[in-house]
This record gives sequence, C-alpha cells and structure tokens, in this order.
Amino acid sequence: MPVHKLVEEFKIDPSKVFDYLDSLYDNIKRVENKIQSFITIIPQETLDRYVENLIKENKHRIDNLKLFGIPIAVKDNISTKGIRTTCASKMLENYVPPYNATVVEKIMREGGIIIGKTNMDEFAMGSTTETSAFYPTKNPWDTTRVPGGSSGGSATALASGEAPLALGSDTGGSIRNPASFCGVYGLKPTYGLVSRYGLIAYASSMDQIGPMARNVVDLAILLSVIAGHDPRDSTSVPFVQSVDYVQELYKLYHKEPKLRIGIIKEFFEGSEEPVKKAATKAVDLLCSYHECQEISLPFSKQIIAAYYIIAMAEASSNLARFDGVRYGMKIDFTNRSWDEAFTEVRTKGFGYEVRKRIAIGAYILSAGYRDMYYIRALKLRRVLKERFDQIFKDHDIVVSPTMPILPPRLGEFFKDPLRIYLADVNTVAANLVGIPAISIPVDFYNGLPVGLQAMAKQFSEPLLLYVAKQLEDRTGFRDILAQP
Amino acid sequence: MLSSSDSNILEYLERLTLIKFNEEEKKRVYEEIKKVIELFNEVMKVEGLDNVEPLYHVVEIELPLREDEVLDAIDENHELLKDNAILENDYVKAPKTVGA
Repeated sequence: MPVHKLVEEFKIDPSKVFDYLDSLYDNIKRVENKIQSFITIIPQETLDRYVENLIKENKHRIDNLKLFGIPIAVKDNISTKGIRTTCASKMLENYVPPYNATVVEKIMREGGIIIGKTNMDEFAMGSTTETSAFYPTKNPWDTTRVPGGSSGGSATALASGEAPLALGSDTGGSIRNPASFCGVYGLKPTYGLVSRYGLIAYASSMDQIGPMARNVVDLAILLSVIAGHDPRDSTSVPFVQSVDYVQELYKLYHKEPKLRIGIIKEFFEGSEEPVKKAATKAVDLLCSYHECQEISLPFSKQIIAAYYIIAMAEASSNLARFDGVRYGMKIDFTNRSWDEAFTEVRTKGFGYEVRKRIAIGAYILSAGYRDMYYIRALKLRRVLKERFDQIFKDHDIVVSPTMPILPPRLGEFFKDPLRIYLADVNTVAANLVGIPAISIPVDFYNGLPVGLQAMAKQFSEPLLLYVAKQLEDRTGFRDILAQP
Repeated sequence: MLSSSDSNILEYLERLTLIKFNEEEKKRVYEEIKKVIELFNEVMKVEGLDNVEPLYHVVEIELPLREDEVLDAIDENHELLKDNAILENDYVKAPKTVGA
C-alpha cells in the first residue's frame, strides 16, 4: 500500500502501525539475507516502544503529522543520533553520532520512524554499492547483479518491500542510478533545497540528499518534509521556505499544461540498445501529449572528466578530517609522530577506492596541476551551466535514459574501473550545474528495470513530479515489488 | 602529465596524502590512476575557456553571516569523544607534531 494511504489508515487507527511493522519485519527476515540492503536494522521491539511513545506524545496532533507511523530507510552517510552511522567504512564502523541530520530531525518531527541504515559505496564513492567495506548489496530483480549506487541499499530496501520510503544522497547520480537499476523513483533536488547538515561530505559543492519511493505521490510527500531553508547549512538556499510538493504536483496534474520537452540526442545514442528502446518508448508516451524536440549536449566525455576532477578534489580535502584522534577508527599513537599515526589510520580505515580517489584528488590539486585540471574543470562547469540556462529558455524539461546500461553483474565493473566512471555520463551534469533531476522507472528488459531521467531548471521539482506522475499513470509502474 | 616514466609519482602521492598502498595494490592503482588522468586530459580539448570564470558554486549567493553566538550545544560533556579521544583538562591529546 502506498505511503499516502497508509498514513490515512494509521491516523484512523494508530494500532495499525504495529501490524504494519509486524508484516514489514517478517518481510525483512525473508529477504534481507538475500540482498543485504542494510548495515544496521533497528530491532522491532525498539521501534514498537518508540511508536508507543510517539502515539502517547502526539495524541492530539496525529492528524497533522505527514509521516505518522511510516518507517523510513536512511542511507548510512546521514547522521542519526544514537544510531551507528558508518558511511560503509571501517573508518566509522563504530561511530555513533551525537546529533541528527536536519532531514532526520524533520522526518521524526512529522512522525516518521527510522527503521535502519542502508548499505552504500564507501563514503558514497562508487556506482554499484560494491565498495562498501562490509558487503555488496544485491539487486532484488536479479541477485547476481548490482543494485547500482551509491545509495544501493536504499533502493533495494524499497524494491524488495523492506521499507516504504527511503533517503539517499546524490553527488553524481547516487540516487538516480540505483533508483533506475532497482525500478523505483528517485529525485535529486536542486542544490541548496535540502539541508546537508549531518550528511557526511563527499564533494560538498555537489552533494544533495533526496527522497526515494515506489510511487510519485510518496516521493512528493518525503520531499515536502525534507526541503526548506536550514541556517545550519550555509549553502541551503535562504529563499526556499516550506512547499507542499503534493499540492504542487496535483495542481499541475489536474491542469495538465503542455510542456516543451528536450530529448538529449547524445545520451540516447550512447545507451545500449534495450535501454534506448525502453526509454524511447517512454519518451513517445510523453511526446504524444507534450511538445518534443531533439537537443544536443556535446562534450559528454569532458563533462564526466570535469565532474570527477571536482569530486575527487573536494573529497581529498573533505576526508582529511578522519584522523582517528577524536572519533572514528582508534589507533594507539604513543611515541609515534603525527605523520606515522595519521598514515596508519587512513590506510587501515579507508578502502581501496577511497584511497585512490583521495590520491588522485591530491594529485590534481598539487602545484603545477591545479590550474591545468581543477580550475579548468570549474571553467567547463560554468560553460555547462550556461548551456543549460540556454536550453531551459526553450524547454521546460530535458529527458534521457538515467543509465546508459542495464544493471551489470556483481564484480563486472572491477575489471575495468574507468567503465564505472563513464557509466555516470547521463547523471553527473545535474550535479555540476545544481539542477533537479528525477529517475522514473518506465519498463523492464529481461526482468531488469530501465529508468528515464528528467531534468529541469533550478527549483522546478514540481514539473519533474508532474511528468513522472503522467508516466506512472500510463506505464502502471507503481508500488511494484521484486520477489528476490 | 602522468607518464610511464613517473615511477616515483605514487610515492609522492602517498607522502602528500599520508595514505599507503600495499605492494599488491601498487601496480593496480598506478595503472588505474594513469587511466583516470588520461580521462581528465579530456578537459584540455575544450577550447575557449581562457576568459571563462571558474564556477566554484552553483548557487552564486553571498555567504550568509550570522551573529557569533552558540546555537546548539552538541556534545558539551564530550560524549562523542569519550570512546576514542584521550582527554586532558578538556583538551584532546594528539600525536606529536614536532620532535618525534
């Protein structure tokens, strides 16, 4: 049952929350060992007690709570007070944050329940959830394949019915990629719309937290809860107050404005055949009503290069805070120099991919290379932003496949690591220029989901929800569960 | 630019980042870094960037300032530090930086 209906049921009879938790935990018991969505699952007794309190304390205002009784799976790089937050890294294996991220605070204030912390690529560096220091998560549609990443566990928890809503984070596609590979909806909001306070940073100028769900209305509910200005995040945009995205969505949905849709030629040409076919079919559905036109976004390879340059540069600086002296991995530094102790903790605490990205980040920021790579990438970033500004003068949204490929088999990408980076070609642009982007599940090919990506100009989330809802109506892709 | 003659580059990066790669990883990471840098060289192919201002941040607003006052009192009792840190008179003890 979708979240928006569950909430109504729970409000009429709060005891139904316990029944729902029963069925949810039964399902987790059944599927979790096959897919491993979670790093930490809160025991059911703990949640039952939490819900008892929630009902007692909110007796007279249950009707106002947008997420009353709804369990939510949270990616393990989002801080949760009293709940271990590992970033899927040995470095933070036993780290328990003393505070909640703003998004978690907001969810709890609306009666939402944190059910667990989901697996991810270590420090969100990866596109398959295989770089997790603990174990890879499997795709519930085919457990020999990856679920995508880095928010892989959040996507699989949704697709296999372990949670009805989830939070992910997206630096270069980390919400949209697993949403696409697992057949769920995922939205990367406009940069600055959702507070990053309490999100453990990877590349701060591109990181955004966003909602993931099994249908569009649920996606809009969670977005409404987490969006809005937060003084504790200096990059949170001050002019955005609270918006009811469900209302905004329905306004558009009933008015049915005809949009001007741009179809990104290069992103279709670069996709493998089954993906291209499925995405084209979905685009045809949209174009039977809206006005469509092919557009061009050249320099695909250069855009990926710019993205990884900026991401790794920011990462090498951001991850310098993990020194083991105050929190995180503990080492004995008696009679040892700073360099020695620091080297040991970073070498033991970080996995291979993280260490590699820090090293490359340091390289491109080092004397002689900074202007050549980092500054040049930032210049290209402005050119790209101007190109998108131009595109959005004549188009309301632009569409492409979310991923150019179907979910690869586990381990397949490790043979050629550059291929993993290149597979991010369609998603990184939205992060470079800070615009919102959604992945909409549109079809299956041989049992594997295919997603369509739509992007719009900054703060146009309602437009993306609107086209997603139109597609959801036509494809019937709603609340579909995998049976792993 | 990284070339096959830069056999010392990995050592230099290890020193710069205070991170080590073990013997097994060394060959692999060197090859992979080389490939990534080759990809990065693609940004050189874009012409006409000389007069473009770098875009550090997509929302180009002024950094907000606020009054210098305590907003939230996280971890006043050093809860966060108690598992790991060696505390002396409310200071955190760290490894030696000089004379070690």
